[in-house]
Amino acid sequence: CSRLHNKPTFSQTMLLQNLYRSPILDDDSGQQITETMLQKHYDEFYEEVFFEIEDKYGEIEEMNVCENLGDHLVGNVYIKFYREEDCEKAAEGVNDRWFGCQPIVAELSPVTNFREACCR
Amino acid sequence: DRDRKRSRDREPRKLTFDRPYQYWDKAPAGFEHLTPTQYKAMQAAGQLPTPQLG
Repeated sequence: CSRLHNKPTFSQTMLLQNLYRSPILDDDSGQQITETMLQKHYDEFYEEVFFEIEDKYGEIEEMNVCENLGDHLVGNVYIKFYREEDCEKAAEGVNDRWFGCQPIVAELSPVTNFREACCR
Repeated sequence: DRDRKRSRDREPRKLTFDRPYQYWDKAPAGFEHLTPTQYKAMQAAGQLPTPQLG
C-alpha cells in the first residue's frame, strides 16, 4: 500500500482516525490484561460509537474497527452508512466533538467493501 | 487484525443507551474551553502535543 489514499468528495463511508485505543497501549498498571477484559473494552467502545452515530446522524450499514497495533491503521474506525448524505453530515458533525479526551478526526473514505480494502 | 462485524438486526431500536457514555464529548482536562476544531488547529500549529500512537 502506498498509503496515499484518495479522499473522495462524496462517500457512504466515514473514517474516524485512531479512535479506538487498545488497553494494551495504555497498560502502565502492571495489571495482566486478559482476553475477556479486551473483549469487554472493545464491545463497550463499539456499542457506544455505533449507538451515538446512528442515533444522531443516520442508519449505519457496517462498522469496522482496526484493532491492530501498527501505526498505520491503529484504532481506525470505518463506518459505512446507507445514505451518502448521512455520512457527510456525520463527518461534519463529529469533527467538532470530543471523544475519550481527544478531538475526533473524521474524513470521507473511498473504502466501500471492507473485505477488498488493500490496507488491512 | 480481528474482524468482528456485527450483523444488523431489524428489531425495533431501543431509544436510549443503557449506560452513561464513557467516551463521547469528554474533553481533555484543562481544554474544556476550546472546541475540538480549535484544539486540532492548535495541534496542527505545533502548540499542543499530538498523542503518541502505537
